Amino acid sequence: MALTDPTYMRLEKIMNVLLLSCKEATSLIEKQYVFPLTFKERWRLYFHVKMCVVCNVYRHQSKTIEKALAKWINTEGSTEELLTPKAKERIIEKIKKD
Amino acid sequence: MDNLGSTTNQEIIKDWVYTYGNYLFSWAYHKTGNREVAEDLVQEVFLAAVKNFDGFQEKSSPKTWLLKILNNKIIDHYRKSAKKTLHLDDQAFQFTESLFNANGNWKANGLEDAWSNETNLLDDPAFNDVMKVCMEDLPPRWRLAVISKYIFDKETLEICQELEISKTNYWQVLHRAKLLLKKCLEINWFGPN
Repeated sequence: MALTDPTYMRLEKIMNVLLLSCKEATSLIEKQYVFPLTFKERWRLYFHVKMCVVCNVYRHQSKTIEKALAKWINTEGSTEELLTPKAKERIIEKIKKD
Repeated sequence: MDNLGSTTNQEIIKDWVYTYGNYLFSWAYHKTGNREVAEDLVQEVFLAAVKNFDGFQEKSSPKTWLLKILNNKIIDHYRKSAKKTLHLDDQAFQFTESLFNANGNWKANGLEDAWSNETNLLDDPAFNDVMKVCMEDLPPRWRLAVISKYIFDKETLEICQELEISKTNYWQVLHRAKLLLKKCLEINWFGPN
């Protein structure tokens, strides 16, 4: 059945009422990182992810991005990116003036 | 006596410019992606250090202290640009909406499997470069929300107050930012070349 088929779309709608849409499910996956989920949110997410391959994959992707973000934040930057001697002199001049 | 005190403080901080200037600059450059902005921020850090030298306690190292000031300056910088670029939020929001169909379910893109080969992903410098580009692509307000969460490890409530957004709005911004990062990584890393 094509994904745009009207029957399929109706079926999807019914599923969404019971077990969230993918948009809602992914938003709960993200919510978990900052706030506890309610009991109802938890079980709806649990069953949605069980049935939805793409959201199941998203959960892993999300974890990977979390790790990549933590790494990005803690990266010092390349040692080739130096403060130019000129900029250093300018800063020292400013310090003297202040 | 007062005068003498501030002169020695200045001398100490002048030394710090040489000792820690490069470290702070590369940190700021990595977070802002802009040389001029990074230079300005580092300059502000040292000026603030002179002014608040009394706040420096020997128990923390100068490097840690300066980095803390710099991180605050970086957040301030994002906050300012976030105010100017609210229209980018809308554009990015529309874009993340387009990942879903009318029912709010995924439009499949065929790249779902590409991510499974991710075991050594984070050790790959090239991947982290792409990540950097994708972070710079986020609308400033979203980036601010993401960075506040990780850089300071602050309580969520505190972040919300600082960003002047509600708790609900906060995780929804994080959700949208994550969707955009995922899409960006798929295009620039996992996608067909």
